Amino acid sequence: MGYKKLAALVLALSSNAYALEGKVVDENGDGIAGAQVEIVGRNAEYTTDQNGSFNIPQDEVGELHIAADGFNHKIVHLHTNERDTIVIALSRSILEIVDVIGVPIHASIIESALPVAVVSGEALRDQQAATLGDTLEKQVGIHTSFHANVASTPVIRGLSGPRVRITQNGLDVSDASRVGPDHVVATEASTAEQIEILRGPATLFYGSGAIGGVVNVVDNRVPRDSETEAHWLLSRETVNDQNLASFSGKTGSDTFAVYADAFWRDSDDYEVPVEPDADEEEHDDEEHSSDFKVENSAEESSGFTLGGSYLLDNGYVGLSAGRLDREYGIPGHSHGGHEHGDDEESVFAELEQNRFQLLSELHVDYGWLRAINTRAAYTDYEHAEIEDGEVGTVFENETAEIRVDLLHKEFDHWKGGINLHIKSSDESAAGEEAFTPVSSTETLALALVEEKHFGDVLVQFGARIESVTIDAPNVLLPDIELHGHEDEEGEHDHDHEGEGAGDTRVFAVDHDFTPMSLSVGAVWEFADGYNAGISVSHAERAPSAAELLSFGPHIGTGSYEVGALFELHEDEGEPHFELSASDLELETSSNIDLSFRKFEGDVGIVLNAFFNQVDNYYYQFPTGLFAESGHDHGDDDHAHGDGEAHGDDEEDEHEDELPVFLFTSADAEFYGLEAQGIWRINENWQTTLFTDFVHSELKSGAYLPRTPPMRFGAEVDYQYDRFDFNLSWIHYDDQNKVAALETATEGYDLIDVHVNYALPLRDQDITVFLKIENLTDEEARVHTSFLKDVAPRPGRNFSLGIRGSF
Amino acid sequence: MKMFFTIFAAFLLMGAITGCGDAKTTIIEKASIPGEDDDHNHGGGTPNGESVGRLLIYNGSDLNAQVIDLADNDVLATLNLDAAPSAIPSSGGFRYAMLVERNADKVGFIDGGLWEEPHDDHFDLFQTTPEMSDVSLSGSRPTHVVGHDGQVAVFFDGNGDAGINASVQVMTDEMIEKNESPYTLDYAVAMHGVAEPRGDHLLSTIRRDDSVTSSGNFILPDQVGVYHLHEGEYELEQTLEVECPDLHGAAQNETTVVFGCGDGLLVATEGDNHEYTAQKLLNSSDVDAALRIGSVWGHHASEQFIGMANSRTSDLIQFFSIDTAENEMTLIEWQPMANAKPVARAFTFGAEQFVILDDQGYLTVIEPHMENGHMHWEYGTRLDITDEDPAMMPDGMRFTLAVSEGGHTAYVADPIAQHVLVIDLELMQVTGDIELDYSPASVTWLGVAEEQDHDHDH
Repeated sequence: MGYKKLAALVLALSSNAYALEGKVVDENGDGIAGAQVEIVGRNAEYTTDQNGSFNIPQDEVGELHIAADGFNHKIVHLHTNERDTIVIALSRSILEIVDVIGVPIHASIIESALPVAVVSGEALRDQQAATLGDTLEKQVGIHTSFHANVASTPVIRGLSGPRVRITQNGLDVSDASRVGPDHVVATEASTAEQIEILRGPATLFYGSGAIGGVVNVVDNRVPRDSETEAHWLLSRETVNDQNLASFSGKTGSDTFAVYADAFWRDSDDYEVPVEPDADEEEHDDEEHSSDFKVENSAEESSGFTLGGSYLLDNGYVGLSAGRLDREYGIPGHSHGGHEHGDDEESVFAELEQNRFQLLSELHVDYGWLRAINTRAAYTDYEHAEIEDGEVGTVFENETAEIRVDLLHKEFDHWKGGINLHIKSSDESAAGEEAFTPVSSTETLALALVEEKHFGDVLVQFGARIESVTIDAPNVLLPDIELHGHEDEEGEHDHDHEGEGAGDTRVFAVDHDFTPMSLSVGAVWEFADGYNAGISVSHAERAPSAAELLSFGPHIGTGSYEVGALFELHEDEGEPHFELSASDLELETSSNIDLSFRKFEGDVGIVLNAFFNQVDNYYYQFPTGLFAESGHDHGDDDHAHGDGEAHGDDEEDEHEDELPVFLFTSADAEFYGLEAQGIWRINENWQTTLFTDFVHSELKSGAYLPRTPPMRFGAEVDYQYDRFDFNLSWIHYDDQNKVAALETATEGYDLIDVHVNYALPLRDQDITVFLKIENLTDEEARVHTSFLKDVAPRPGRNFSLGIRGSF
Repeated sequence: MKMFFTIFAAFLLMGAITGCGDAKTTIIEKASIPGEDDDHNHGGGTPNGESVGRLLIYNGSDLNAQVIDLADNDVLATLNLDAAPSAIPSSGGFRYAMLVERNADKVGFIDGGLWEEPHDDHFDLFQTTPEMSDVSLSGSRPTHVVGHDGQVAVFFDGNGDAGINASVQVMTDEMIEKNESPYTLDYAVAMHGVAEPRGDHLLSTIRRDDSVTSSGNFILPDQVGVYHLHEGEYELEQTLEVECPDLHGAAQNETTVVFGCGDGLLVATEGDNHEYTAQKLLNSSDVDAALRIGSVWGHHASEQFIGMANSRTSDLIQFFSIDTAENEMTLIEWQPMANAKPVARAFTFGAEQFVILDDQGYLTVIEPHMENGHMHWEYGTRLDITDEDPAMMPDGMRFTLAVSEGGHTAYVADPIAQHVLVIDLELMQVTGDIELDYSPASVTWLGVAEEQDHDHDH
C-alpha cells in the first residue's frame, strides 16, 4: 500500500489548489482508515489515512467509488465546484463484497440485477480444491459434477457443459472440459486471486448462451500494478496423501510490474468409506472391512506462469505466458463395473497447456471514449488418454481470441460500453474414442452493456449479437450395428454378421448461426440496506461442435454419443442413423430472475428465485439401443469368468457395448430458489444458513439427468484472538427425479471443520490451518456426477497446511 | 457519443439483414470410406476389424521384432532376431516379413499369422500367433526384393571378388508355408541386378561382358532378359535389344515393366503370348544433368510410374511421373520443405496417391489429376508427422513408412518420439498412435491385401 499512499500524496500536493478533501466515516461518524477511494473512469485510486481523510485533485472528479472491508460500497456523484470537505458515510455490511474485475459495469454481490458471486481471499484459500467444480461447490446455487476428485466442472442451477462458460481473466479457458465430464478444466485455483460467478447482462460481454453463467478465474498473471506482494501455501491431505505447494508473487517499479506463480500437487488414489462400486456393495462382507479406495483417482499436476506489464499513467499493457501439466487417472474406465484390483487397467490422461495472454486497460479521453480494455490470448491445449501405455485418444484445442471493450463516457448518466469479440478455435480428437470430428469454430460478436441510476433504481441492460461458424470438413457417419438388449439370441447372431462391413459416409459440414441475446434488469434500493432486483433475459445459443457432430464411443460418459446432425431411422425393423432431415435450431432461453437482499446491520439475507424456459434445449436422448464400443480391453476372459458371481448376465453379455445417446433438442423448463441468511451474533460469532433447489423438466414431462438435489446447510464461525473456527454442515437431499436409464441417489450429510491460527508475527501474515472434511466419514454419492455409482466422495479427510503472504 | 450509437445501430442493422437468430447448415457429402471387409465375403470368419492387418515393428537396439494387431494395437508377439536385417520387406502375399540379411547371405521369414486361402467360391481367413519361420533362403548378398501378384523375387548380387555368381530366387507365400524349394535363376556372373516376377515369367537383368557393356560401372547390368519357368528353373526366352546403361531400379504395372537407366528408362511392354517389346524413354530435359533415375515405383492400378532421380554426389532429388503409353516423363513439383530429403516413398492403396516421407518429418502426398485426357501427378497436401526436432534422430535411424494393402492407411515410425503414427490417408489425419518404449527402426505391413494382384515398391 505504501506506493499508493505516496502516489496519492504526491498527486494531491502537486496538482492544484482545488484539491477535494473528504472523509470516509462509519455509522458513528468515526473515520475509516484504509478505505479505497476510486475515481470512476480513471486509473486513480486513493487510500484514506488513519482519520479516514483523503485529498484528491478535484478537476478530475465526476464520480467516486468508495470501498472498505466490512462496509458497503458507495458511489458518490460530485457536482462541480464542490467546495466543502465531503463526508461519506459507509454502513457496515454483513455480506462480503468483492468487486468483479474486468466488466464495464460495476458488479458485486449486492450491486447487480442478477446474482453475482465472487470467491476471493481467505474464502478462496479455504475452499480451493484440485478441480474447479469442487472449489466452487459451497457457493449457493452451485453444485459440482464431482468426477472422482480428478475432474469437475461447476453445475450452476442444474446447467453445465456448454451452458457454463469458463474463462481465465475473461478469456476462454480453451480446453476440452466442455466436451466430456472426465476432462479437467484447465485452470488452477491455488494460484488464482479470485473466482467470479456471473449471470445476467454482464455475461454478454463474455459470450451468448452461457445461460448457466460465466465462471471467471482471475489471477494476476498480467499485473495491474507493481505493489510488492507474495502468497505461498504448503499443505498435506490424508484422504489421498495429497501434497500441495503453491506460490505467487508480484513486484516491480513505477513503470514495470512483473508476476510469477507456480504450483505443484501430487495425490494418490483417495479413500472412501465404502466399496466404491455401488453394484458390489451388497456382497461386500467382513473381508473388506476398511481401506476402500477409488482406483485410478491419483493426480499429479504442476504449472507456472510468468507475466509482466508496462504501467502507464492511464493504465497498463502486459503479457503473460503460462504452462500447465497435469496427469490424472480416469476412474470408472472399465465396462460393466467389474473392477477388481489387480486386473484394473491403468487409464490416465495427460494434459498439457500453453497459454499466452495480453491484457491491457487504458483510460483515454478521446471523443466519446473513456477507456479501452483489450484482452487477447493464444492457447494451445492437448490432452491424451493413455491406456496400458498406449495413447488411446488425443484431444487438441488451439484457440486464438481477442476482446476489445470500448467504454464510453457517461452520457446522460448512462454508463457502459461495447465489446468486440473475435475467437477462432480448432478442436480435434484423434484415436479410438475420437467421438468428435475435427472442427473449427469462428465467432465474431458485438455486445453492448449499459446501466443508469434512476433515483433509487439501477437499470442495467445488455445485448449481444454473434456470428458463429462451425466448419467440419470430415464428419463421419459410420454404419454401426445397433440393437436393443431385449433381442433374442438368434437375432443377435444374425446382426453380427454384417457388423462393421458398411461404408462410412463422409460429409463436409458448415454451420452458420447468428444468435442474438438481450437482457434487461433493475435493482431498486427501496430502503437503506435493502434492495430488490428483477431481470428478464432472452438468450440464443449456437449448439457446440460436440453437440452437433459427435459420433462414437465416449468412455468418459460411458455412452455412445451421436450428434444432433443425425437422426435415427428404421428399415424393416433395423435401426440405423441418417442425416437429420429437420433443421437445426438455436437453443433459445427466456429467463426471469427475482432477487431480494438485505445487506446492512447484523442480519443479511439474499433470496433468489428464477424461472427459465428453454426452447430447443439440446440434451442427450437415450435411444434404448446399444452399439459396440470398438474398444477391446484384451481382457475378456476375466470378465466372463467373473460373470456368474454377479448374476447379472445381461451386463456381462454386453460387456463391450455402450448405450447410444442421441443429441436432440426439445423444450425444457427450469425453476428454482436460492436463499442465504447471515446473522452476526456478536464480534466473535457469526452463523449462516443457506438452501438451494432446482427443478428441471422437459415439456414432455421427462426429467433431465443429473439434476442437483435440494440441499440446505448451516455454518457457524467463531473468531477468537488469533483463532478462527468454522463448523459447517450441508444436507444433500435424495434425488428421485431421474431421467431414463438414470437411478435415484440417496441423500447425505457432510460436516466440515476448519481451524485457522494466525501466527503472531510482526511483518508477515502466516496462518496454520487444519481442515477436517466429511467428519462423519459418510458415504456420499453425487447425483450430478457421471461416476456416482463407482466413485463416491472421499471419506474423512484431514488437511494440515501453512500459508502466508507479505 | 453520437458515433457510439451509430456504430451500434449499424451493427444491429447488419444483424437484421443477415438474419438474427438464424441457423443455417450446409452439408456436402464426400466419398465414403469403404468398410473394412467390403469386397470379400469372409463367411463370417472375420472378427470385426481383423483385416486391418498387422504391423511388424523392428526394434534394432534390442534386436527383436514386434507384431502388432492393428485392430486394437495389441502386441501379438515379440520375436528375437539372430542378426540385424538390412531390410524387412513383406512377401508377395503380405503374410510373411522377410529378414534380408545381406551380409549374412541369408533371407529369413517371420510368419505374420494373418492370411486367407481360397475355398470353393470364397476365401477363408486364417489367424495364428506370429512366429519365426523355419524357412530361409541362402545366397550371396541378397539385395533387391520385389513382390508382385503373390510372388516375391530376391536378387542375390553374388560377389565378383570371391567368384560367387548372382542368382534370383522366387517364392510364393504358399511355397514358404510348405517350405518348398524356390524357383531359381542362376547367372554366370555377379551383378547388382533386379528381377521382376510375372507369373511364369521373370524379367531380370543381364550383365554383359565388361568389353561390350554400355555401363560405366561394370557391376551394374545394361540389358534385360525375359525368362520362363521350366521345372523350377528360369530359362532365357528373349533378350530385350535395348541398352540400359548402369541399370538400377525397376517396377511394373499391369502391362509394363520399366528399368532405370543412366540415360533414361527401359520400357518393356507385354504383348501377346508373353512376348515383350522394348523401347527407350530418354531422360527429359528436366532431369538435372548430375542426376539419373535410379528408383522406380509402379502399381497395378496406375498407368503411370513414379521415378526418382538422384545421385550420390548431389543433394538434389527429383521425382518424375512416367507415362509409358504417352512415352513421356514429367517433373513433379513436390515442393519439399527446407532441407527435406526423402527417406521413404510408396504408392498408397489403389494408387490413389503417392506419398513421400522426408527426414524433416513431413509426409507429402502427390495426387493424380486428369487434365485434357492426360494424367498429371502433382503436389496434393502435406502432413507434419512429428513434433520432435529431426536433429535428435538417433544415429543410423530414420523415419520409416509402411502402407496398408487393405485400406487407405499409412504407418509412420518415429524413432525420436518412439511411436508409430497411424495416418488416415483419405482424411490426411493422424488417427492413432502406437506408443513404444524403444525407437522403431522400421515398420512392415502384413495381412490380407484388398485385391489379389498388385505391385510393390522396391
